[in-house]
This record gives sequence, C-alpha cells and structure tokens, in this order.
Amino acid sequence: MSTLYPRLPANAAKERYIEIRDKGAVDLARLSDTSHLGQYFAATGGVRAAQDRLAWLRSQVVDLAARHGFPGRPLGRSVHEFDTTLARLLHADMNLVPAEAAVRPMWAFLAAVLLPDVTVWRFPQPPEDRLLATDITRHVFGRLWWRAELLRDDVRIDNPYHLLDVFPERNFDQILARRRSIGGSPELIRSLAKEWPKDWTGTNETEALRDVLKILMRRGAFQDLFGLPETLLRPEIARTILDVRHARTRAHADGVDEVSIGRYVRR
Amino acid sequence: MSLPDWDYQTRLRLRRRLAIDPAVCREAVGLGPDTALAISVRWNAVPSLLRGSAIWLPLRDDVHDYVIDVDIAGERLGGVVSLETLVVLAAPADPRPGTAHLVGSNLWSESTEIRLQGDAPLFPIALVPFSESSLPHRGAWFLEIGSDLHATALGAIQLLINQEHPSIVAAVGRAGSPNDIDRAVLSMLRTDITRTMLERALADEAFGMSEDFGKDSLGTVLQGLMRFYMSSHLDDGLVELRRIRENDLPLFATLVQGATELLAAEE
Repeated sequence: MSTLYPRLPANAAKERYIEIRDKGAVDLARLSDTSHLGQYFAATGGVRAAQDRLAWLRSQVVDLAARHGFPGRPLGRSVHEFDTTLARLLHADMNLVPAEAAVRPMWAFLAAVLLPDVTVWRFPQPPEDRLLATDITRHVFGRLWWRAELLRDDVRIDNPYHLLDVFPERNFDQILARRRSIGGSPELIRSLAKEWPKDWTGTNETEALRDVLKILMRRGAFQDLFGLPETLLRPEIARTILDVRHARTRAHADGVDEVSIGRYVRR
Repeated sequence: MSLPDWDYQTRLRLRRRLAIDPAVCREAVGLGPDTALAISVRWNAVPSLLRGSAIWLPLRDDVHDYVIDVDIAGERLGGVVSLETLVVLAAPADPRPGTAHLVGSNLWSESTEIRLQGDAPLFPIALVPFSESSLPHRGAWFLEIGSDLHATALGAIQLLINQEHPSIVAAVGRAGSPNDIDRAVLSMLRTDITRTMLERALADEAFGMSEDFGKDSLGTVLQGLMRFYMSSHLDDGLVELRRIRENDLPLFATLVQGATELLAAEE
C-alpha cells in the first residue's frame, strides 16, 4: 500500500516560506520538523507516513546533500549528479503514487517543514514555486520525483533509473513544461530518452530537443502517439529525431536560422 | 460519470462494446484493402497530468463486434479521467495525397470523462496489519486521535482497520452494499468511533462548546459531533455529560448506543 504524506495548507506554507526564504541552511536545520500543526492527510488511499519514517527520509536526503557539501559549501559543478541521485532516492524510497505526487501541499510540507535547510542550500533565496509547488515542475523535490517517474524503465530491473542521465536539467525542463501534452506520457518520454543520441557534436542539443518536441506535439493532433505500443512508437521517434538532425545540419550548411522539418518536406 | 468514493487503491475497470466493419472503414477513408487497423484506448488524468495507453487491439476483418475491457491502476489517476477510444492505422501505409499513412493515424475517435474523488466527505481510514504494529494483534480497529484540538481534523484523526481481521475488512470493503452481518459490524464500528471521539472531547479540559478552535480543526469537528449526537444533553454546556462520563461510564456508553442507533433495524 502506498504512503500518504502530510500536506501543508497554503496559508501555513506561505507563512513558512516568508520565515525561511532569506535564511541559510545552517540556521534552518533547527526549523526542520516531522510535523506541523496545520498538516492534514488524504482521507484514504494509503498508510500515513509516521514521524519516524519522515525522520528517516530526512536523514537520507541530508546524508546525500552532505556528500555534496551541505550545509556549508554550495553545490557547484555536481548539481546534475546531486539532482539525479536525489531523484532516484525520492522515487525509490518515498513509496509515493503519481496521484498523490500531483498534490502541491504535500511537496510544500516536504520543502518547508521537513527539509527547509536542504531546500535553501539547493536553491538559495528560493522563489515561491521552489518551495510551495505552485508549479510542481519547478519544485525543489517534486520536479525530481516526476523526472524519475517519467523516465523509470522497469524493463531494466538491474537499473530502472538508467535514463535519468540522458537529458541535462535544462533540457528535461522543456519536457516537463509540456506535461499537459506529450510530457505527461511516461511511455513517450522513455522512448524519446532511449532513442536520444549521445553525441550531438556540431548541433545544438537543446534546440534539437525543442524541435523534436514541437513536431511530436503537432503530430499528436492526428496521430495516436500516446497509445502506440513501444515497438511502433520508438521507430517513429527515432525517425523524427533523425529528421530534425538532418534539417538542422542542412540549415547550418545553408547559413539559415530557421529549419524546415518533416519527413516529406524537401527544400 | 462520477465515482465519489474512489481512492488511489481503487482500480478502474471499464468495458465498452464497439461494432466496426474494417473493410467499410478503410474504404470510407480512402485506404487500401490490406491496411492494418487497430482499436486504441488511451486515458489522461487531471491533476496528475499523466496519460497512457489502456489497450491496443489489432482489428480482424472477420470480426465486427468487439468487447473492450480496460483496467487502469488507480494510483496513476485522480480528479478527472478522460478515456478516448480510437480507430487508428496499425502500421505505416504508403503515403498518398489526402489519406492517412503514419502509424497511429487517428481515423475515428470518441471520448468520455469520469470524475473521480467527488465531493463525498471521506472518513480518514487505512488498512494496516496490526501484527506489524504496536496495537493488539487481534483487535479489529483503532481510532487515532491527536492531542491538539487546534490541529487540522484530517491530520489528527485516522481510523486504522486491522488488515488481518477478516470480518471487519469484509464489512468495510462492502460498506456500499453490505449484507446483514456487515451491517451489524459497521453499526458497531460507527458507535464505537463516536463514543471514542466524544469521550476524547469530554476528557479534555481545554474542550468547550463555545471555544473557537478554527475552521476544519479537530476541536470544531468534535463540537459538531457533540451537537449532532448529544444535543438533548447540552442545556448546561458539558456539565451533565462530563458528570455521566466520570460517574457512570456504562450509562454514557448506552447513551451513545441510543444516539447512534446501534444495531437498529433498517426501515
């Protein structure tokens, strides 16, 4: 049975945010807690996370952060490694189901009550959405859990999170920003990650991903990309990536910024 | 359609019938006679924003009537779920002007919405094995009530049902359509919960009927319970009820039995 986490009501979360936003990680360790007076839970659907479980989760995250310099030293170049390891940890250890992970006050509790020190260490002087999860795709922890959820590959029992390293954060943000369309389909995102080339020498990878996502979204209007079995979906995505790559290479050779993309488009 | 009692543990099992003549369908959309078609059922949910495939069923020319069963794990859903049934190309076709050729091309579709988690208030409840807890292993249920009357009620109250107690598990599972035994068990459960909550309130010196504990707080919920079940004993505030509870506990238990209509015959 899944675990239900405490939820922090919006007004309490806002008060907490004002209290902690300008403080440092060292000061905030004292403010961390495993419960809050205003907290509540989903009525049904799982077993509530007891305080010792929350304390254990906190210790796991704090230990990981400490290996990357927490609380005194900023993250620096190990941001990607920290984020992907934390994504794996949260997704594997929280026993959280997607429907519960879509609940913003749950993430607000985690960032503002359980782990305020790690939150401000990862994002010093954080804007509201990093703490309050007004946009989960920007939340300090929520965005990582969702990244792991969308990329988890159960076929690889030995390493189900192997796809986490495929996209750097700024690129994966493009996918998360399209959660209402193609970014909400784990099957599509996993196929994209599996087909994504490792080597993008000579081509801007971020722009190429933007083009691929744009085409797939356009295709989604008349093509059932969300229903295709993986054996049919992956060749479609592989061809789209190839089309974009060729179009970008041609555009680069022609010295133009705009690219014409499409399997049947010829310049 | 609405399922107000839904929670994350509830699987969504749906069935629909579809009649289709593949040959007529191909002709109507200008496809060749050998073009492979499939039925695709896909879903998307708000607020998790997840989407996925529920079934992909290749069509056969000699079968015109299909019964389609889909089974979606509740943990991925929540809020409003849209289900779309499509007839699509099951393989790429030769490109011809004005006709579909990409695999998954949508030839026909129909969608329906199901609202999960309606407005029905749910009592916080969880199934747990008592043998793995500190509770008496052979107990049937345990009502957890927090100590702070100002705390949010949904965070302060939870009914734990012993997963290893077949009678109570069966009765709770069939609460929507109980048999005679279930009805008796649920009646006892309701009376016991009510008595435990009322006693909790009366035993707390900080609890009073005119105190303001705040919206949705445990104290406010207990006040409501007291008014609903004990209205005829509140003329002098809580003095009479506190006296009965302290001096004559059996009478108090019977008062609650009457107020909650323990084992009353259904009209």
